[in-house]
Amino acid sequence: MNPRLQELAEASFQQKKERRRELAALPIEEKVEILRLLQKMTADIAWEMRGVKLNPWPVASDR
Amino acid sequence: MEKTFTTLNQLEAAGLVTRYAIGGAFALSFYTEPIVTFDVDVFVFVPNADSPLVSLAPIYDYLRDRGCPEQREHVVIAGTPVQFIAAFNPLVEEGVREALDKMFKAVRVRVLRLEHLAAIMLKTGRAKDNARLAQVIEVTKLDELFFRGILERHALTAAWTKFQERFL
Repeated sequence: MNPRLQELAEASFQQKKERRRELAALPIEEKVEILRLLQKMTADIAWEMRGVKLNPWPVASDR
Repeated sequence: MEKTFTTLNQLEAAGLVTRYAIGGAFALSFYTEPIVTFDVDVFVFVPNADSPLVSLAPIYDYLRDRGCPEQREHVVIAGTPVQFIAAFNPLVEEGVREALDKMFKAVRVRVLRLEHLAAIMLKTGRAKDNARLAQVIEVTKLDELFFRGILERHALTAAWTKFQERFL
């Protein structure tokens, strides 16, 4: 195996891990906003591909 | 979410639950990157837990009267499906007892400690628990001493060794 390619792959994995750590360090309020976006995407995919209805949490639940 | 958490605090203040703590994937989001989930798991101690007939019915009744509908295994509180689970084993009981108060905006909410969440995932051991636990280990730092103590008290040391061999 080309050691240079291995090095590049390892660097890429480290960068990804670093980005995940940055996400983990966000305030919980921001993480919940991200979670809502992820829920919406997941719900859209589940509906389009499987006809399964999932309900993202409404923003109104904050009020 | 604030209204949901406020309602959990009200349940405790009203004596419907002796103590609550959020667990599951949503609790993990307090410590890690956001994890997709569509519900909030809430572990509870209920009054008269020593009775052979532990019932969550008073919680459901209280919430129904306050406009929170039931939806299969969940109660929908301010749009968020919440599943109440009576603390069902010594590990979860310890987790609820030692859970931490955190803040969401201006609302206090009690959440299981990361080390208890990790131990519960290890004990549960489904494929998704293993995957999540490996992710958690990558991006967070467990309190090693505290975690070891949990593993020893709940006979999980061998399972942890095996997990490390397989996934880390």
